[in-house]
Amino acid sequence: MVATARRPDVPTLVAGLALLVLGGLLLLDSQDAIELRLGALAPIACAAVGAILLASGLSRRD
Amino acid sequence: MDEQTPPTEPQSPPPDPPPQRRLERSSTDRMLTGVCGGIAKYLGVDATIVRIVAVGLTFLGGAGALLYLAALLLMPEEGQPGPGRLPGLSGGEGGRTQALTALAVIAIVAIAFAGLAIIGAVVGWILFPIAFLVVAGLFAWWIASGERPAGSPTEILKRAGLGIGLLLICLALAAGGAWAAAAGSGAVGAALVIGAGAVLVVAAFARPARWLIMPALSLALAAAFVMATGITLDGGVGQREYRPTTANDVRDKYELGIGELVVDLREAHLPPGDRHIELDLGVGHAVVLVPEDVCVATDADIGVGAVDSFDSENGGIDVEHDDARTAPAGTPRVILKGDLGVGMLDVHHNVRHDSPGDWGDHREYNSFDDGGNDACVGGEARAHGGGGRNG
Repeated sequence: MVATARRPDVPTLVAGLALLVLGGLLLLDSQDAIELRLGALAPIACAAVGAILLASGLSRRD
Repeated sequence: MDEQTPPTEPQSPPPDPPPQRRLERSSTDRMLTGVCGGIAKYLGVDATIVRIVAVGLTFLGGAGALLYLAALLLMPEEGQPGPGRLPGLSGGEGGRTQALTALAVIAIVAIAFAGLAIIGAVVGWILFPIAFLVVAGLFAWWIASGERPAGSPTEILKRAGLGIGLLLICLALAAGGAWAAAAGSGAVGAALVIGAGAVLVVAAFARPARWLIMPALSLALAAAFVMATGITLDGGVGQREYRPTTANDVRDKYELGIGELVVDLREAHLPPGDRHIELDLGVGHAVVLVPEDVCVATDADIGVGAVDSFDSENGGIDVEHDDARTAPAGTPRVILKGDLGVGMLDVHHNVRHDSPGDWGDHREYNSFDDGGNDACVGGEARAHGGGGRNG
């Protein structure tokens, strides 16, 4: 009996990674390592949502 | 002895009783049917006034049209004995029949008005929100799970219910994330976002659950928005008004989480020299009032909102308003450092309390006198991140 590695769900994985990156930026901001303002956060958030939708759409085609 | 009867004086006939006033449609003063002219004649007023009232009542709920119709049916023509005649009705029973018909018509029209009002209320306040909620639920579930709104009505309603439940969960998580980020330190918000991301990564490998993406995004984006705008709940929630009467009563820092923060320095008798004041507001409206002989240098940092400092305005996202003014010798200067998450900062000399919003003990701070920052001698307002005008 051969155990096969389970493939991760790509949209969920992309969303998780995007939130990890966003959380890291917010952590740096809270430590005053960077200054994250709303004008910078808004494009980042839009890019994250866009990446999730892209991954979701591509995974449905498979 | 003869008794003589006194001569009787001839008696004049009793005067005719005054003619009884009748409410009837005028045959001479009429624009349509003489109803308004007849009412005006009965009341002894100008017919124009009656017509204006009728038109006004027509536009205010339609009562004017209803009353006009009733008067048309019930008021007789001038000089005729009975009530007005409807086309096709005549004879001895005509008056009674027409009165009953008039009442029936009025009742039907009134019921129609009430029916329309009830239908409008049902559609506008019940059916439309339900339909909107169902569509939003179907869309949310489609985005979250990939299942299109197809199949039997029961299946569609089931998916709509799941989507509505998901939206409610997202709403609750967004509120919770925003509150946690605003109430705690910045690290708390960051930890929430990282935790949500970690849950998704684990779920991606363990058990695919795409419906988790929307709740996690709601939580994370709400917390991120609060952190990026600098919203905090320090100082509580509500309305705070400070009116120091001496310079010693003036605090170095005024703060409020959510609400309206008013700092009125007009009776503080500030001495010459600089006075640093820090203003920290999470969400809401901050107002600073200073005497006209005090110079104000404003340095405001606003996540989303606007600043209105005397004759300069600036608003938008990430607003940095630096109005560095200098005061002549012997003139007091307030150096104001404003830090707002979402809201409006007003710095003025006087407020107008005569606006219609003033009532009772509650004062509205929405209207100000546009006096300049005239106690200062130099400096210029510089703004970044928003749009506005500088005076």
